Formats: sequence, C-alpha cells, structure tokens
Amino acid sequence: MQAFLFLAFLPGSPAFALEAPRKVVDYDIQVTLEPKERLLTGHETLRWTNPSDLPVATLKFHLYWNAFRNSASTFSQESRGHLRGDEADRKEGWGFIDVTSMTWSGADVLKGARFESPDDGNADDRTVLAVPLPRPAAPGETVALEIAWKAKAPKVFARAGHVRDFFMLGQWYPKIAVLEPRGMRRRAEAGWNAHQYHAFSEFYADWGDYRVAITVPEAFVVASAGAKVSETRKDGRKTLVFAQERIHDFAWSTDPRYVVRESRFDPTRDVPASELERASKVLGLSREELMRGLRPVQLRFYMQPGHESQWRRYEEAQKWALAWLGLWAFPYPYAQVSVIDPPEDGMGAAGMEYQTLYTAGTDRRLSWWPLRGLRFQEGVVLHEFAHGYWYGLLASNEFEESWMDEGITTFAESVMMDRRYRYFVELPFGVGLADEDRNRAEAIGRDLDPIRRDSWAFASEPSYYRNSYARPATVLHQIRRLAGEEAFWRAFRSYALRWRFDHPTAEDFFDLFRPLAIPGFESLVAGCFSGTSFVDFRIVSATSERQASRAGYDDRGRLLLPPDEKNKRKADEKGPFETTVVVGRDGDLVLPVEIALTFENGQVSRTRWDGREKWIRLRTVYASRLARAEVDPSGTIVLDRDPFNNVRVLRAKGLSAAAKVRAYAVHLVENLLSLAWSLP
Amino acid sequence: MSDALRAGLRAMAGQRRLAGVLWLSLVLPAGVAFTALAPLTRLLDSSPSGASLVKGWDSWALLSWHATRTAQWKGTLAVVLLALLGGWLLQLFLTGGVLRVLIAGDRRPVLGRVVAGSVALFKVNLWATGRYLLSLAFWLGGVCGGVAWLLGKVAGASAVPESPWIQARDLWLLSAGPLGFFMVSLRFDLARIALARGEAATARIAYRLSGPRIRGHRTPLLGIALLWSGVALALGWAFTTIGVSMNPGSVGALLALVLFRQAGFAVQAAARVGFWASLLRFDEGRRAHLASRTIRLSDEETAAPLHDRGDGEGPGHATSGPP
Ligand SMILES: [Zn+2]
Repeated sequence: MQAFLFLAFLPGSPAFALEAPRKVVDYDIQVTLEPKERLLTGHETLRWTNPSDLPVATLKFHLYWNAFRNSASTFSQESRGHLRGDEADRKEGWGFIDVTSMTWSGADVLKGARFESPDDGNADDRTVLAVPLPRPAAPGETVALEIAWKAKAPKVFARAGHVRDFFMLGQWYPKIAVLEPRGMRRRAEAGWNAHQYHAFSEFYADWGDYRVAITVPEAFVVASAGAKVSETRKDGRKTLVFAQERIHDFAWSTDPRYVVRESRFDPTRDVPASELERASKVLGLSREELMRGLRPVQLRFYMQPGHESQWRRYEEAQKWALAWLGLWAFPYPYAQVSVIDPPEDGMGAAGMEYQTLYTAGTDRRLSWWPLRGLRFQEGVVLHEFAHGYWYGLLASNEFEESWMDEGITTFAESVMMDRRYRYFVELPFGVGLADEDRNRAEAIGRDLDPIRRDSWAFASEPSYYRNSYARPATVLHQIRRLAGEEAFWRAFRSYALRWRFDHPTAEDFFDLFRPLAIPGFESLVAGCFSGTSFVDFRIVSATSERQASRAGYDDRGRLLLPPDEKNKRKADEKGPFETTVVVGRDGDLVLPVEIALTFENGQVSRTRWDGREKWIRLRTVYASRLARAEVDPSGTIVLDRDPFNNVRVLRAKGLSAAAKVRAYAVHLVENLLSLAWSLP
Repeated sequence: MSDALRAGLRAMAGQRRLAGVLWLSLVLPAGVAFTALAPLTRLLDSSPSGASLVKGWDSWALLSWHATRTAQWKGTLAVVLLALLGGWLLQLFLTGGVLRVLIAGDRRPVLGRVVAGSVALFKVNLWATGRYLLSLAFWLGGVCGGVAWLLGKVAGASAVPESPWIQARDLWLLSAGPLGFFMVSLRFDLARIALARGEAATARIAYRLSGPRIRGHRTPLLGIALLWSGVALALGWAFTTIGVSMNPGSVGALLALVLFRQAGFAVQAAARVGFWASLLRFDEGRRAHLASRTIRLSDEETAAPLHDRGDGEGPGHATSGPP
C-alpha cells in the first residue's frame, strides 16, 4: 500500500485513469447534536497517510466553522455578512469550532498548534490550524490521530448552519488539508495546500473512507452522505451510522420536519433512448458500451412540509442528470444520492454541493402558474448534482481554480437544461430563455480578471461569479463549436475518465484538448483563462457598385469618355458589380470565422477567415449586387462581444424583424391595457 | 342579476360605436408606441438574430439585445411603460364619457359625445379617482396588509413556513386581497355612474350615494363583475393564443396578424361596454328601490332633501330627488 502510494506519485509516472482514488485519509467520527444549544460534540479517529516522498513535521487542518466565529474572520471580511442574496444574523448567529484535544499514540499534539492565514495573513482568522508533530511522519507512514472537538452551528446564511431546528452540516468536523506530493497537480516539491475558508470557495480535500455515527434527538430525521449502516435508539435519542468509501467530503443534515420521498434511478428505464443514440453516435461507442457501467442508484428527497408536491420535479431532473452525466462523462459510481430541500427561511443552505448529497431549494409559490415555468428547481438539481462530478469525482482545487468546479458544472448544467427543458425560464406563449444564452449574455461583458485566479483575489464579487461560472462555461461552448461535436465530446469524456478519483488542474484539462488542434484553442487558453482578451468581429464597410467602365486613353491612344448621366443610370442596373467588404476584428482573441456575402440574386458566397490579422478585405466582381454581408452567419463565435455589428444589409428583403418585434410590443401594450378591462 | 347581464349582453352586441371608441383608446397609445419604437428596434434588422426573429421566438436575440444594446433596450421598455401609463390614464379619462353615452343612448356622434362627456366629468372623476386610490391604500394596504402583518406577528419570527398562522396569512392575502380590490373598485365604478348620471356634483357625494346601493347587494354586484371578468379574460386569452400561433413570416401575414389582434381588442372593448351596461342596470335597480323607500319615508315625515347639496358647478350640479 505504502509502496504503491510512493510509486504512484513519482514524477513522470504514466498518466492513467483510476478506478478508485488513492486513499490518503480515513475518518471514523462520532458526533452528537444538541439542537437547542446548536452544539455539536464530536470525536474522530483520523488516519492519515503521508503521500509524499518527504517526511512531514506539521499537519494542517481546516476548522471552517470558525469562518462564522466573529466579524474579524476572513470569511466575514470578504462577505461582509452577505452571500448569494442572504444576510448573516450579526447578533446571535455566530458559530465556531474548537478542537478540545488531539493526540497521536497517546501524546498530546495540540500544545504547539497555532492558527495560520496563508492566503491573507489575517491574524484573526482561525480556519487553518497547523499542528506540529512530536516527530516527522515518514513518507508512506500512517498517522492515527484521536481528535475531540466542540462546535456551534451558525444561523445559516452561507451554506452551513441552522434555522430553527433545520440543520445543514457541511465543513462541520476538523478536516485535514491536502498534502500534495511532488508531481501532483504539477507540483515541483511536496507541500501542504491548505487555504482559509473564503466567501467564494471552500473545497479541496483528500480521498478516503468515512464512517460517521450521528446522534440526534429521536424526532429528528437525518439525511446524510453515504449509506446507513445501523440505527440504535436509547433515552430519547437515536444514533445512525453512515459509511461511504472513496469520497473526500462528508455532509449531513437533520430536521424533524423532513418528509422523505424515495425513488430509484433505473438505467434501463431512465436513460432516454434519444440521448443514448446521440451519445453513441457522437462518442463513437456502442450503446452497450455506454450502458455497461450504469447502475441503479437509490434516490432520497428530504422535502420540507408544503413542498411535497415538488419532489417529482427534483426527481425528474435528478434522473436526467444521472443519465446525461453517465453517458457523456462516466457512470455515477456511488449507490445513492440524497437531496436536501431546505426551508424557505433557510435558503442560505440551498444550492450546495457535497458528495452523494446536495441541497436543492424551492418555494411553495414556484409550483403555481405561471411561476412553474421558472425552472429553479430543475436548475439547482442539475447544477448541484453536476458538481458531484466536477468537484466531487474530479476533485479539483476550488480555491485556486474555481472554474474547474463551477465553470464545468455550469457548462454541463446548461447543456442538460437546454436539451431536456429547452428553456431555463419559460413563460407563456412560447417565450423562454435558454441557459446557454443566459450565460453567454453574461460572459461577453467587460473583464477585469482572467478565469484562472485565486477565488479570493478577483476584483469584485461579480467578477468572481462571471469568471467562475458564466465565462468559463461559455468558453467551453466556444471550444465545442470550434472543435465540432465529436472531437469536443470525446475529449470532454476522456478528461472525465482520466481524472476521476484524482485532482486535476487546468493544464490537465487543456492537455486532453491540445492533440485535437482546435483552431483558436491556444488563443482561448491564453486570452480567456490567463487573460482578459475578447473578440468582436464586425463588418467595417460593404459596398457594391457597377464596375466602372474604363475612362481615359486606351492602348490605341483613343480617349474613352465616362457614360453620360442618362446612360449611366441604365448601365448601373446591368452590372457587373464590384463588391468590396471589409471585416474587422476588435480584441485579441484570434479565432477563425466565416464571412457570408449574399447577393441580390440569392447567391451566397462563403469565405473562411483565419482571423489572424485585424481585418480582411473581400473584393469580387459579380453579375449581381450585394444584398447583405455577414460575419459569423452560423453563430459559431459565441464569445463575440457585440453581435449587432456582424451584419450589414444593403438591400432588405422580406419581413423586417424590427417591424415584427414592434408589432408584438404594441400588442403587448394593448394586451395589458385590455387586461384592465377584465377588472372592475 | 340576470336582468343586468341581459342588459350588458345587449349593449355588447348593440353599442358598436361606443366599443369602437374604447378600442381607439387602445390604438392611440399603441400607435404612438409603434412609431416611437421604430428607431429603438431598427438594430434588430441588422442583427444576426433578425432572420430567426422573423421565424419565431429567439432567446439569444432578447438576451444579446439586453446585454449589448442597453440604451435601446431601456428605451424600448420606457416606451412600453409610458404607453401603458398613457393608455391607462386615457381609459380613466374616457370612462365618464362612455357612461354618459351609455346612459343617454347611442346617438351620434359617439366619439364627440364621449369626449365631451369625459371633459365635463374630468374634474369630478379625478377627485373620485383620488378617493379610489385612497380607499385602495386603506383597504389593501391598511386592512388587508395589516391583518396579514398581525398574523405574521402572531406566528412569530421563528415560525415554520407551514404553521397555521402563516397558512392563514397566505390564505387571507389570497382571498381578502382580490376581494377587497373588487369591492373598492366597484364602489368607485358606482360613484362614477352617479357622477355620469348627474346625481352628484362632487366625488364625495357620489361616493356617499354609491355606498347604500352596494350595501346588502354585494353578492350580485360581485357576481356581475366576476362574470364579465371571466368573459374578458377568456376573450383576451383566445385572441392572444391564436395571434401567437399565427407567427407571421411575411409582410402580408404580419398585416393579417395586426388586423386580427385589433379585431380581438374591438371585441374585448365591446365586452367592456357590456360590463358597464350591466353595472348601470344594477345601479338603476338599486336606485329605484332605494328611492321608493325614501319616498315612503319622506311621505311620512317631512320632505327632507335626499342628498347633500352639492356645491360644484357644471353638469354635475344637481340635487335631484327621486324621479
Ligand atoms: Zn455551483
């Protein structure tokens, strides 16, 4: 085991896909919740194996509930008590986690422990604890620690905490940070990768097995990661034991009011035939191959009273996500998924990803017409479950490369949403907004930051969100359009397969696309992931005039005169016509693009431009006049910052879109005014 | 109630010119908006989404317009909102004239008489509207909102969303809100009818007159209003749905859609005339009933003046007793 670990991390060892993660940690936890006092009392046996080729003298731990300890924590400073539309309770809402003892082979190791703030030097932040060992742990050596702690749940506004007797417990136990061996995530030297708890990121951990015994008052319903192993009751309390192998994070929730609904994902029934067909064609795999690893998955929905009717919508989206990700990435490897439906006054806990468990979120009113068409429930399920892959199974470092988690998740969500539901927001009368378009509209705005940046180092909150969600998702769509469906999805799938149960970096992702020689790919990597480049193709000018007959002296010395006014007008209608179109490119992204010239006789001439220079001039002499010049007529360049300068119309034909939109706008006005006629 | 409905249906079928005038009050702001939108929407003709918009709905056309041509987008919204506001005010203004013409019968020129009536009643109707907005604020904001606030308070800050108090609050808001709105609006309507009849010279008197006419007869009055609401909504829904499914792709088809929609709005206007006619009939019935009672009363006692003497001027100046 130790030798295996050692060898596997040797630099230059061949890259291979894992069937199971390299196990670094084992947690055996017993925890008791006192709901009235919001107190957690816990004990854990942590077995950690030094995965590096160096002796390790200090261990580092995440004590993330200390983010909620007071207003001086880095999280409090960064969030200023606001996150995702929710607000902190600044009076009673604070929480904390205190390690009360830590021993290694009976020796107290807590004595020399100190808090560190590697990201911002904040002396008041207590979310990273450094624990010096009495002697260094040798490479491959397993350190077994006994840790006791006490924690108080904050009033929920940022992911974890409680409201009344609803508890969402994420980041609730002392969790060892990641010691990255040489070679892992392209590190030159082994070392700790431990970050403080930030407003915008909290996930990066090592793989292992968890066994968690949870004790709560008997009336409380427990939703947990993993599978329930046992349940015992005593003195009005119950203890439930959950176990899960091959994960790097463990969350649970409890609420006496949960209404539990169960279902089962059955691949033979729940994988749509059309999607299987499409995946088989695009990926070049037989349907049998694609279906082979797909297994039944137990689904549990922990609904709030009053939301029961909505669990079917969760269920449908959940099954679709299992099918889609199972086909286009790889089959979900765990036996169950638990979906938490937080209360309406605890929405700070909504929309959060954990392993084999996530929080969704809805409102009673979202089941009413026409609010039913706002697909928040579906969106949150598709998004959070997709996280189960891009944060969960491909355990990227959210602190340093948030796009690898949020961005790829947003990309997958948009594909799943638009394919299954067509629109993210659907209004009556066929009106709707597609998820991909929504992200695209956000992505083409101005930038201050590259996509790759430490999550706490973005210029602003909107800049973090844009560059972690919408922009990377849209850049991925851009790569897809440039690469073509087959090439893109095959590379996408090989990324998922190669890096599951592992810790990929952005370069690992790019490396799987580089052999495809996608035009513009390196420009996107440099310009978007590492820079703030953009692209705006536009028609600079477009003219089409009758080719001027020659004037002046000809070869025989005769003087040729231009036609007089009357003849000129006649000749102007005949041709041939000289058409000149100049297409320009603003911004520094170098992407190939198509230019289409449509002539009055209906002929279309298409030119492919590599987009390397800042402009190109197209000149042609043709029997018909130019009617319309358009750059990127098929809408391939989804990153085009301004689509409205892509077209120049010289002669319009048919119905004007503007006229149609105006007519509809006016009908809307009349509709609303006449709606007043239905009221007294 | 059935008598009132019959009167309404008769007016809906018969008073076409009046319906035409109401329809014009829709067309006028719509026409202004159509013209004002021309420079704001022109960009769509030279956008990549132009062709797909001609084909039908395009989510990217809307989102890219919003994201990259913010000024034109906001301008378009402003035009739509201003047209709505203008149209609403126009209808408020014309209601007096419409009622006058309905009371007097369909004599030509209808448009001229509606406008003249509206002008004559403008000031008193404005006062009535003010009073209406105040009572809306009182009943919806004060009573309806107040009770909801109290229920929320009783439930407490840590109440679960499905606690009986919260459920009761939601139920209260959903029932008392619309009911309050209907009743306050119907009182306003009856007050305006009293003004249009010339029974009252001021909004205050008109409101005082309308009170007893509603009292004890809320259910039939609400029934009339709800029935016409249903008719209006059904008509609006039908014409909108068919209109949307027409999805024109050529100039001719767009013209056909515009004509079809306008025909629909004209029918809806006729239904509105029907609603007013029903309300007038209801009001007449109540007025006659109350008058006969007052006559009997005044026969026995002294001939007390029926109503406060209005001190306004113009056609509203009247303190007429029972006919
Ligand atoms: Zn996310």
